[in-house]
Amino acid sequence: MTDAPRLTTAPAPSPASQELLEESRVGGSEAARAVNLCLLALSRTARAFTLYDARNQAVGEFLTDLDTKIKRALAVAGGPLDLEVRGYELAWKGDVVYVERERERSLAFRLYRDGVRRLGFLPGLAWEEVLGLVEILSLRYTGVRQQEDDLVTLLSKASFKSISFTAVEGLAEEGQDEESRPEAPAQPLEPPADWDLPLPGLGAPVAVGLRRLAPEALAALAAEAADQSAPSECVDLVLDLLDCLTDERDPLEADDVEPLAFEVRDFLIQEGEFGALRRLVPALERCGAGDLRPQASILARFGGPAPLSRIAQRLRGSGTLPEDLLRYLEAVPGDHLADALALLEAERDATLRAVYTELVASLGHERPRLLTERLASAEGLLARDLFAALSVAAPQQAVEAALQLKDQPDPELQLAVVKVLAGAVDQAPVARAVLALLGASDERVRTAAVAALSASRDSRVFDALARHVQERAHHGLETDEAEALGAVLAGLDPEAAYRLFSDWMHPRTFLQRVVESPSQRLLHWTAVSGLGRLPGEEPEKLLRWFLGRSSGDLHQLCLAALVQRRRDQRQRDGHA
Amino acid sequence: MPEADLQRAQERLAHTLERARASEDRELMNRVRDEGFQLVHLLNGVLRMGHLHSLDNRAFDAPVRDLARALGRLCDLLGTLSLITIEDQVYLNEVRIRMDERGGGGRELGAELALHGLGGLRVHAGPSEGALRQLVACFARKPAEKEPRAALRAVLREQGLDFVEALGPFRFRLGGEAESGRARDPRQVLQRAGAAVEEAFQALGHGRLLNPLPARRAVTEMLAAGLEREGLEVDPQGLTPHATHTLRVTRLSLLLGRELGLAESVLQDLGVAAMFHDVGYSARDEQGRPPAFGHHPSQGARLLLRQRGFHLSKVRRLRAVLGHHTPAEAGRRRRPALMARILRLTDDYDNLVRRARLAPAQALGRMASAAGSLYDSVLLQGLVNALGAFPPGTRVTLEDGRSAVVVAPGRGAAAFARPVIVIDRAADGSRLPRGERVDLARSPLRLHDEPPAQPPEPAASAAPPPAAPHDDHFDLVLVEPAPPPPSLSAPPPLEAAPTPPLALRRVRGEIVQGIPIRLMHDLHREKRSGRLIFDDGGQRRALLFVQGNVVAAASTLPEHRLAALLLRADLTELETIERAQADALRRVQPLGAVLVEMGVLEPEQLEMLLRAQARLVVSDVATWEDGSYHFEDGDAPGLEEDVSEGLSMPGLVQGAVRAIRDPDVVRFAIGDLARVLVRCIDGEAEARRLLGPSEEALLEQVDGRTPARLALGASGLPPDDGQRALLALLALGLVEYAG
Repeated sequence: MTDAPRLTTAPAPSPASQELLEESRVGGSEAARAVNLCLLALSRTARAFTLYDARNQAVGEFLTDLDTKIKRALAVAGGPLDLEVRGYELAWKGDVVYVERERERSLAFRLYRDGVRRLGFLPGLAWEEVLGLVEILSLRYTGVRQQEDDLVTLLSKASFKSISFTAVEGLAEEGQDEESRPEAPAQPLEPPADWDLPLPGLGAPVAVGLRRLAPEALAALAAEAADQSAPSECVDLVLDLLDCLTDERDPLEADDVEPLAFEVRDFLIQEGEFGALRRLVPALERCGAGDLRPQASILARFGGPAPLSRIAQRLRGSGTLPEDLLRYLEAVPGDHLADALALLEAERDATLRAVYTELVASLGHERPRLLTERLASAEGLLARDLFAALSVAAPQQAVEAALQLKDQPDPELQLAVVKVLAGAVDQAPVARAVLALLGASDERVRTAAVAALSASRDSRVFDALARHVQERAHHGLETDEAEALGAVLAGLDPEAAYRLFSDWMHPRTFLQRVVESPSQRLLHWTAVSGLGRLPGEEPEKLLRWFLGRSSGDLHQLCLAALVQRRRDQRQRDGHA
Repeated sequence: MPEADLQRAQERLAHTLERARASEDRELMNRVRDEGFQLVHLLNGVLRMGHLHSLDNRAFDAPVRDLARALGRLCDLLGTLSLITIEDQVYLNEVRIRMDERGGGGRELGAELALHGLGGLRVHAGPSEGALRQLVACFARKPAEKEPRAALRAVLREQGLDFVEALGPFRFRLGGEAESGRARDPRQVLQRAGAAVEEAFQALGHGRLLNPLPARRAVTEMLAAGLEREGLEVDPQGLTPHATHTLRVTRLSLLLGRELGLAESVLQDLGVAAMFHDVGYSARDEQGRPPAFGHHPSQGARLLLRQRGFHLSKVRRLRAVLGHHTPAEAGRRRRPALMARILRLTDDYDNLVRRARLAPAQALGRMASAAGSLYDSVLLQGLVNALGAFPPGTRVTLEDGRSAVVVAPGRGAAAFARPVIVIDRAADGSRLPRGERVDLARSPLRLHDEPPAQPPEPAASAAPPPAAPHDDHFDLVLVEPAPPPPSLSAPPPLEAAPTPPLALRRVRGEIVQGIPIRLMHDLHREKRSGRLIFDDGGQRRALLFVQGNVVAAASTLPEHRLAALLLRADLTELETIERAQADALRRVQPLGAVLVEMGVLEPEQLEMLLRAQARLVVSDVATWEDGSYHFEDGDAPGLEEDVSEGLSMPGLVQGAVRAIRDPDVVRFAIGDLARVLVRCIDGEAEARRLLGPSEEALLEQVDGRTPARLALGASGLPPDDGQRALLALLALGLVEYAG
C-alpha cells in the first residue's frame, strides 16, 4: 500500500504558468518532490502548445525549466527513473509523484488512455530525447494525428535510447460471452481467385549468395525514406496519380485524386517548398486538359485566398519573398493579386500584413491600376501598405498616387508619400505637394519634406520655403527643423540665402534690437545653420558678427557653425 | 541552457506542430466529436424514454428520426461505429467524446447499457427508424436475471437487428497483466494483425474510411516481438488465404527493412503499407466484380485516397500500393518508391514460393535473373542476405539424417547458412512427437550438405550479376552447382576397393563408369526425394526423384526434350509447340500441361512421352564415363516441370543397362569378379519380374559362397551376356558383393 500523496502548498506560479493551471505538487521525500516537479514541468511544457505558439517566450521558459528539473530528478533518483502509469497518477517506487484528475490536464491519464503502463528515464538522458518526448506529448495534448498515430506508436517510432515504456492494448472487453456474437452482417469480400496472377516472367535461376551491401547503397536507401525527402515523395505521388488519370483504362478518377493534390499543395506550402510545387504544374496542366468535369480543373483551383494565406503564414517574419514562390505563382492560374489585396485588407497582424504587402508589390507591377484604384478609397493601415506596395510595383504611378494622398492625416503615410515625392521634386506639382507637407502636424513629416525639397532647382521653392520658415517661426518651429531649413535654403540658392539670413539677423525695429523674440530667435537659428553652409568670406563675417551679439544656445550654434566651416575649409584645402 | 539551443528546440517544436496541424483533418475530428456528442445524447434519451413510454407513442417520432439520421451520418463517415462507455467516459472509434464539458450523457448512457451487462455498442450500418424502435424495445425489456448480455443478444438476433452488436463492459487494461498471455503471445499478435488486415479489407471494400491505427499497432507489436523473422513458415489459423499472404508479405517486408537498417518510423510505415498493399482487390465495379490484376494497385490507391488529412505515412502508403507491381527500373518513368520496390520483391517472392510452389532458394534464384530490371538489385541482395542460404520453410537434413524445417533465418552474415530450425523428423523419416528448436549458429549440429563458412563477398556492385540466358527449351530448372567443398572427396572407383553402397550423404562427386546406375539404384532404395544432376562440363542431365521414383527428367540435348519427342512421335506441329512454349513461359506453366490444356495431347499421351523422355535420359547418362554429379534434397517440382506419375525404377535401370553397348563399360562397371556374390534379401519383387532369361540363369548360381567369376561360368552364358546380366542384377539391387 502506498501512502497518500502529501500535498504541499505551491509557491506563486509565474504569470505564464498561471494561464496553464498547474497540477498538484506531491512527494513524500526530497527525491519524490524532485520527480514531481520534473513531471509537472513536463506536463506544463507539453500543454503549453494549446495556448502558445511554439516560438513564444513562455514556451522557452518552460523548456528551460524542464531541462533543469529533469536533470535534477535524475540526479536525485540516483539511477533509472521508472514510473508506473496509473489512471490519474504516476508512481515511483510505490510513491505517487504525480496526480491530476482533470482529464484534459492530466499527463497520467493521457498516457494511461493510450495504453502506456510504464515510462522510464535512464541516466544520461539527452536533451534531444527529452525534446522528442515533449514533441510526442504535445501532439497528443493538441489533439492532432489521432487517426494515424497514438502515444504508443509515436513512442515506438521515436526509438528512444534513454526513454523506455511498456504498453498494453488500452481497452479490454471483460468476460467471456455465454454465446457467440452475431456475425458481422456485411457479405464478406474476397479477392478474385487469380489474384496476383500471372506471376512475372522470370529467367533461369542465377546463383545467389551472401554479399555485403555497400554502405553507400544503404545510405541512399535511407535517404529515400528520410524526412528530408518528404517534399519530393509528395510530388512524386501526385505525379504518379496524375499519370494514372491520363490512362483512360485506369480506375482512378480526378475526384479521387483531387483532395490529395490539395493536401500536398498545402503541405509543400507549409514547408516552403515552392520549387517542388512548381514541378506539379505541368502535370496538372496536362491533366486539366482532359478533365471533363463540370467544375474547374485542379490546377484552376490551385490558387486562391486560402493557399495564399498559408503562404503568408509560412513566410511570416522571413523578409523577402523567395524567387521560387513568385515563379510558382506565375505558373498557377488565378488572380493572385486580387486575392492578396483582399487578404491584406482583412488582416490585422503586422507581420502577415508585411508579407501580403510584399506579395502585392511583387504581383502588382503589371497591374498597377488595380492598386491605385484600391488606394483611392483606402485609409489607415491599408492605405499605407498599398502605397508601399505601389512604390515598389510601379514607382511612377506611386508618385501620382502620392499627390492624391498627401492630405491624408496619417503621419506614417505622409512620410511614405514624402519619400516617394522626393524623387520627383523637380516637377512643380510635386514640389508644391511637398511644400504643402511642410505644414504637416508631425515633425518627422515636416523634416522629411524639408529634406526632399533640398533637391529642387526651382527658385520658387526657395521663396516658398523662406515664407514657410517665417510663418512657422511664429507657430511651433522646432530648432531641429530650423536647422534643416537653414541648410536647405543655403543649398537651394546660396546668394539668396545669404541675403535672407542677413536680413533676419539684422533687427529692423528698436524692439527687435533690444529684445529677441522667440520667433526671431528661430529665424536666427535658421540663419546661423544656413550661413554655416555658405561658402565665402561674407557669410563668415556675418557669423562672427552675430556671434558677438548672441548668447546661450544660439551663441553655441554660431561657434559650432564656425568650427564646422574651419573643418570644411581644411578638408577642401586638403583635397585641393 | 544556451540561447541557441533553446531557439533550436523551439523551432523544432514549432515545425513539428505546424506540420502536424497542417496535416490533421480537423474538420473530420471536429465533426466526429460534435456528431458523437449528439449521438450519445440522443441514444441516451431514447433508451430512457423506452422505460417510460410505449414504443408507439408519438413522442418517439422525432428522437428516433434524429438518432437514425445521426447514426446514418456517422456510419457514412466512419464505417463501423464503436461506441464504448468506460467509467464516465464515452469513446467513439477511439475519439473521446467530451461529455463532461458539455454536461451530462456519458455516465447515464453507461448506466443504461450496464443494466443489460453491456459496455458498448458496435453499429455496422445506419438503421431504419423501425429497426431503431425495435432496438429501444429490446433495451426497454427487463434485463434477464442471469446472463443479461447473452439474453439481449439473443433478442437482437431474433428481431433481426443485425446492424448492431452488443459489447461487454470495458475497462482499462492494467499494466503487466497478461490475458492468457495475449499481450506477448506471438500467435495472438499475428492473429490480431491478421484480423486488422481482414477488417481493413472488408471495411474499405464496403466503402468505409480507412482507420490505419489498428494496423499500425499491429505492426508495432510484430516489430517488438521480432515476428518479422520468427516463425515465418507458419501462418496464423483462421485467416483467408489472401489475408495470410498479406501478413506474410508484411513480415517479409519488415525483415528486409531491418536488414537494410531502415529507421523504426520507416519500418512502421512500411509494415502498414504492406498490410494494405492488396486492398485494391476489395473494390467492386458496378457489376460487383473485383478488379483485374493490372488495376488492383490503382483501385487500392483509390480506396486509400478516401482517408482525409495529410500525413507523410499516407503518402508513403499510397506510393507503395500504387507502385508495388511496377518494375524497379522503369526506364524514363519515375522510379517506384522504396517501399513499392520492397513490396514488389516480397510480394513476388511469397507468390513464387506459396502459389507457384518453388523452393524458397529457387524462387530467389529466379528472381535474381531479373535483378536490375523487375527488381532493385540492392534490395534483392538484401532479401537474400536476410533470408539466408536456407530461407524459412526450407526443409533441410542434418548430418545425422534427421530432417528439419527452417523457421527463422540466422542472424548476421556469420549465420547466413546456419538458420534456426525445428527438427521434426527422425533419420528414418518418421515424425518426431515434439519438434526440437535449434539455432544452428549456436549449435554443433551441421547440415549434411553444409559448405564451410565463408566470409561474405565484397559489396554488391551497381550492375546486377549477368542473368543466365533463359533456355526456353529446358524443361527442368537447373541451378548452377556450387563448387564442391574441399572437405568432400569423390567416392573411390568401384574396382579399387570393395564397394559399399554409395553414401548418399556425400551427394556430389566425380562420375566413373557405372556410377549413374548405382546412384539411381541407391536413391530408389532409400526413397529419396530431390534432384540428381549430372554434368560433364558441356552437357547436363537431371532426374527428379520423389520418394525414390523418377518423376521427371531434363537434358540439354535437344533430342531429349519434350518438343523433340512430340515431333518425332508426330503428335503435333512445330508451330503449335512454339505457341505452347510461349504460353508456358508467360504463365510459368509446364509445356506438357499447356499442351494438354490446349487439347493437343491427351493426359495418357503426355505420361507416355514423359516416360520415354526419362528412359532416354537415363539410358544416356548410364553410359557416361566422366563428369560430375550432385544430388539436391527437396521434393517440390519446379514451376515448369511436367511430372510423371512415377516411372518404374527397375524398368529404367534395366533399360539403362541394356542400353550400354560397349562391353568394356560393362566389364569396368562390374568390377573385381573374384568377390563372392550374395543375394539381397530386400530385393524388389518388381525387379524380379523384369529379369530376362540371362539374369534368371545367373541368379540361380548365386548362393552366397560362389565368387562371381565361377557363377558366370556355371551359368553357361556367353561372356558378354553373362557380364551384362551381372550388371543388371547388381544395378537392380538383387545381388551384391559380399563384405
